[in-house]
Amino acid sequence: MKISQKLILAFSVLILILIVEIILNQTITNKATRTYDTLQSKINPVINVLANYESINKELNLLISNRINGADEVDTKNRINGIIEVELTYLKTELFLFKEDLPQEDTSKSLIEKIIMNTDSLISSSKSVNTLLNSSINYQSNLKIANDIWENKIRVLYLTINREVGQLSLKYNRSSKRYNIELSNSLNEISKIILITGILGIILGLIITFQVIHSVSEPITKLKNAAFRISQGELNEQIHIKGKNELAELGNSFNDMSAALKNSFDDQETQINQIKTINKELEQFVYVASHDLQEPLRTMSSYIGLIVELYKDKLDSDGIKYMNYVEDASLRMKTLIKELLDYSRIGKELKITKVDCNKVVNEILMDFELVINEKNASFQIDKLPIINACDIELKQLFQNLINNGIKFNKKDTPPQIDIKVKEEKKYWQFSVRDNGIGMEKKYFERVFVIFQRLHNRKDYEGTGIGLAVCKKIVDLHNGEIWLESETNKGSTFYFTIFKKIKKHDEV
Amino acid sequence: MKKIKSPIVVCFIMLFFIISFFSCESNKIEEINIGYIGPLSVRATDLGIAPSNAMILAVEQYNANRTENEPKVNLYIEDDKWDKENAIPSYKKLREEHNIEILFISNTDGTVAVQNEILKDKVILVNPLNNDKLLSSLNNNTFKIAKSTEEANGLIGIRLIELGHKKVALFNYPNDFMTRGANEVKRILDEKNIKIEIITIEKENVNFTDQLKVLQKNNYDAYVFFGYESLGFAMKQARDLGIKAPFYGSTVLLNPDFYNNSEGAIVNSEFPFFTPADGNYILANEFLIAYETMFSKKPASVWPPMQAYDAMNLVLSQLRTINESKKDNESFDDWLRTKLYRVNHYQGVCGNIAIKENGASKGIYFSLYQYNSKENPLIKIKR
Repeated sequence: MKISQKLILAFSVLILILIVEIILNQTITNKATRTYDTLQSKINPVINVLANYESINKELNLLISNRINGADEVDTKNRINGIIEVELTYLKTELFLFKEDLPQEDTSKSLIEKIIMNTDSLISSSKSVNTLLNSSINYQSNLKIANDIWENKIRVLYLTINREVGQLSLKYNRSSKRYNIELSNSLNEISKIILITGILGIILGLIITFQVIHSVSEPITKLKNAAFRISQGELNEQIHIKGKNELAELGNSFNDMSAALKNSFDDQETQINQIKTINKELEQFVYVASHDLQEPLRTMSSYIGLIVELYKDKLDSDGIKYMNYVEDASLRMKTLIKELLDYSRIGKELKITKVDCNKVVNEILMDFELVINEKNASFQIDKLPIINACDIELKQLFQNLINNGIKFNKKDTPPQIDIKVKEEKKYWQFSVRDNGIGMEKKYFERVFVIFQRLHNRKDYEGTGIGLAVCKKIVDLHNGEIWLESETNKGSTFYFTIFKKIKKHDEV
Repeated sequence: MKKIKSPIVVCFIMLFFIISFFSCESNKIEEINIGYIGPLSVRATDLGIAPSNAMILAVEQYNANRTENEPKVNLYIEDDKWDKENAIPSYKKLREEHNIEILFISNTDGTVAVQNEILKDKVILVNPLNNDKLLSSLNNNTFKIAKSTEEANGLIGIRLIELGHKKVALFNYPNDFMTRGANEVKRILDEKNIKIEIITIEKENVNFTDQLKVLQKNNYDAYVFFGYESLGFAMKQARDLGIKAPFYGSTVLLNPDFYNNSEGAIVNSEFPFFTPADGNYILANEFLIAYETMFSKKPASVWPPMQAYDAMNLVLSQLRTINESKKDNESFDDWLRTKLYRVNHYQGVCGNIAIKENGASKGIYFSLYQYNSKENPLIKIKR
């Protein structure tokens, strides 16, 4: 099942549980509310009224009894009046209103009617007693009549009302108890529903969480790890995600992508290997060719020398001139082949060692002493560092650059060559600056290509291999070489050598 | 411009509907004005100043605690100088200036005087001090939320019998309340064949020496003073003449001017009165504390403000429900009259009050007290 379907299903179940909870809660709450309303509007008020009824009835009986027995204080009279005129009338009216709300078949109805009727009689009798006792005419006979009324009527009514009110109270108290239990049960049920649905919700939530973790997090972690391994070059990495969900599809796509990537890298590697092989073959060819060409060239030069020496009398002036051309050409060819051979040898056997650049440069200056003196060249050289490099090749590099600086000087201007070094965080940056003829910007790249010459051989000797050799040496040290130049203002060649090239390691 | 106009028009239409919707509640009553006419000067001011203060307190408490659906109540007060002649002008002023819909008035004669006016204007009248048979015979818009005049003053009659007096002289101030009290005493004494001489005084009279001399000569053994502070002079003059017979009074003896005019002769007089102990003691004390807090003094006589407070609160308890219970086609006086008739148990500071079919209250019962001293004038009589 798809993750989205799983989530929809899970949340649907969760919502269903909530709906069920809401419906059940509403139903039971409504029931509880009805019970509470009944208690508040139909049971408790009646119980309160009946409690008042009982107490007022007792108080009235006591007060009238006191009056008959001589207690005729104003307070007693006032209280009797208050009970007769206000309290009992009010309670009677309240009971009447409760009665009106009762269904016809309710047995309480007749009981309430009896209480009301007896209360009317009680009020009437009490008023009679009050009137009799308030009158000062024939007080003694009035007192006797009042006593009779109290004993035969009021006391009987008091007991009857008391009993009837007691019966009604008992009934309503039972009802109250029943409704209270019902209310309590409803509240308990609501509490249970909340508890059960809450637990179900929590369990479902945990299941959803587990499912999400299982379905989403785990495959994502797998994908992340696989992507990391691929980034480390492990292109054979494949992942397996169970199921048929979106992430499983993503896993399959990932596998397809890594397979395609591997194929692409394999193809590239094959091509690189082919290029390397061809390159090696070319180098081998150049080496073999330049090496093997030396022998016939030496033979040719020897015989040309012999011919010129043995037949110089037999050859006319043109013949001698042509033979000189041939000799010159063979010499140039010899030089060319030698330099080509040197070029092809670079990098054959290289060893990294600690090289003192000051020593290297000084050796070169000593080698070039004659030409330096001849051209009156001057040098300004920084204190150079000791670096990790291939000593012979590094000397070759400096030698070619210094040589160029001396060679390509302006007429009537003695060469001035500055050698500087700048230390960067990871590498050394050397520069060799001259005040020579310089060059246009368009030649900046071309000069590093083998056999590229910018000048006529008559003006400046050379084979066009020197800067190509420089580039090859810098490349072998994983550095870079470039130049800045302006025509007739001189050139500056920059190259970098990394600091961390391990000693004795093959480059 | 069309694009701008359309939303404006829609907004105006919506505003119109919103206003129309809310204006459906235009029948909601926001304010009700009540007037009170009582003696704030000249005489019987204990029946006017303290009750008006009690009513101000009740209205303030109501307004402070009312909900949005309950109308605000404004109380406007006029001084009638305890003279019925001032009742109608005061009432007309209240109607014209404040369009009052309920009138409280202390004076019984004044209550009678404005009967036609209130009926014509459909105003509900409440007398918060007196409640007698005459008032109960008036029109249906008149309610009496007070003690029964006859019952309260009748206590003196019963007491005179109890103490065995044989010849009783009763000074009667010529107004309905005092006359009814006097007649009730006479009725009770007549039942026992006890002689009673009712001397109706003139309102402005302060010299009763001649009448007292005659009574002294005829050996009257009890003197009843049913009137206001001017009868304090009579008490003093009686004692000055050497009359040693006990004095009795009506419900107004605690007016400080009564004591001052009598120069202490009032001490030991017995009279019907009402204190918190005679009503709902807890509520009454709460009221008296609130009264003292608001007006920085205690009322000289507690029953007039207690009754006025209950009467006002009883009416306010009905007004509180006006926006829920009054029908649109029902007039205000019809609505309030019906509501007041249905009051069968109002728990007030004076006790539990009910309204009878004749618009009179029941449930406020006076007791008999003796005037002890100026500082502590009240001692309840216990036999």
